[in-house]
Amino acid sequence: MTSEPKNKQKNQPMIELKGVSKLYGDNITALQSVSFSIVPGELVSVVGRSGAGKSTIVRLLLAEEKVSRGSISVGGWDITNVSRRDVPQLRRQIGTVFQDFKLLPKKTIFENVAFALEVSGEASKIIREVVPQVLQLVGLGNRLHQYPAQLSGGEQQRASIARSLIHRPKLLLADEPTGNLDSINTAEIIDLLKKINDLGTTVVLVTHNRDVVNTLRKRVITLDKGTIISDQAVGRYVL
Amino acid sequence: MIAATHRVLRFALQSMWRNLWLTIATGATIALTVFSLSSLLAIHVGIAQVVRSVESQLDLTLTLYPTVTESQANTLVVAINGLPNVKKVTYVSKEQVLEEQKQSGDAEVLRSLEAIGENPFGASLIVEATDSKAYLAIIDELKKEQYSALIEGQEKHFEENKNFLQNFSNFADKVRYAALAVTAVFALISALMVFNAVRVAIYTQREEITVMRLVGATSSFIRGPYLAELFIYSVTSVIIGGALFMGLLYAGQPYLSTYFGQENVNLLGYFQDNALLIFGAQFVGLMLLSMVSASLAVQRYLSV
Repeated sequence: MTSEPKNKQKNQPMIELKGVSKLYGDNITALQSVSFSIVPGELVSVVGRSGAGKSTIVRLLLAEEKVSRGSISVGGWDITNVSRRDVPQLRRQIGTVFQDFKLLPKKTIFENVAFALEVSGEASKIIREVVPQVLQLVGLGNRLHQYPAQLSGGEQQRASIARSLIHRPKLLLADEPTGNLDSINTAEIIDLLKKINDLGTTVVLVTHNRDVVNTLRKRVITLDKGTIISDQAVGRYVL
Repeated sequence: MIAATHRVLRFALQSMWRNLWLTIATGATIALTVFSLSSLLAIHVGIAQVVRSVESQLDLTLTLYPTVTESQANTLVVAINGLPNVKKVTYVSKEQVLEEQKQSGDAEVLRSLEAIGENPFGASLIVEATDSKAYLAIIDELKKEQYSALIEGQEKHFEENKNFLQNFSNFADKVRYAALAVTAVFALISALMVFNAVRVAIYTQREEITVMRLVGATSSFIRGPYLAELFIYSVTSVIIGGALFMGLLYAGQPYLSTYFGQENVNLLGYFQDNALLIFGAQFVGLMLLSMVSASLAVQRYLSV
């Protein structure tokens, strides 16, 4: 992590959810007393059917929403009641990859990746040096000045991964990163995520892709109807 | 600070260039608003100038009794000059009145004057007031007893004058209020057009705002380029809209002068004299309005 929040606690798991529930209105329960922790350097798949609560966990970790009950911490920072003012700082410390890539369509690939550094006030000189390096790392070294619409889905997702890595985060959240990709691009993206994990970044992969989970042979947390039904150190897709 | 400002300006200009059609549509709407507001102001000022011109042509002629001496008339002139809202009092002597009657060439008048053999006319005072309403107060003042021995035909003529002036004054007020109301309504519509144009411009970029938020941009970092864009829109719209309006006014003023008279309706002169104030106020108003609209519009999409 690049900065130390005031209420950050030392020697904590990278992610810790304690008895987290998320209710929408009186009738809809997205998560029910969910507890788990993820240590630094792990690659964990969070799986489950649509509506199981996977994306709710991502939204809670990004402070898009707040928990109804329980507590949640990221990198030792208790974000249960994080203020809106601190939300940008939290997000700059988490790399995030989305199913729909969420690239800015009117910015080039270079500018999209650079934007993530510009928001934190990084110097232009450093941005000009670092961005091409990271894009080279994800295989887009020759596509710097193209717009997202000019790239294939796999390339757009790699650009999105480059943007998520540009801060050198210790945590990468990938929310259905292969949901819009064919099998070849899916394999490439998963390889890339494994490499990132091998370099020490904690990776949380939210997916319902059975093949991806089964080939990874890493920890799998399975959700169903808002509760954890299994948490296996070397798991398979059990639903 | 300099780097941040440079970044905000770069984002703003880049966004305007890369969303060129949106930029043109938004800019044209705002420029049209400037043009419309200026036109409304021109109509308002034009009507006021016409009404003022008609008012300036009104006067009140007081006919004095033939027995009133020049000294008494001068005392009366001083007294009337002392009344509020009196712009000018012109003394016309008995001899001048007689001469005017002779010059009129009316055969019956000339025959009557010959028959009488002496000057039957009294002197006159021509009173000019600052506006039509002021005449009513002057008439009320002159109806007082101390003037009754000096001014002839007070009851009849004063009542006739008063009725005319009252009617004219009411008409002038109605014209002014109507012009003001129309201006206010159209100004409100113009404001809504700007408000909506800014909201639409930001609505089309709502997903980008969400993405910016998700990669850690602060609200102020996201708002900055939009505010810079609005500043650029406001400046260019005031310049373009103002230039179009002034061009049209420049071309139209000769026709106005021909119809109403240069000294009566001079819109070009008014706008040239007050250009800085008028277009400066429009710029400030546009900036404030678009900042409020942008803040409200962006705020909706910052909630992620």
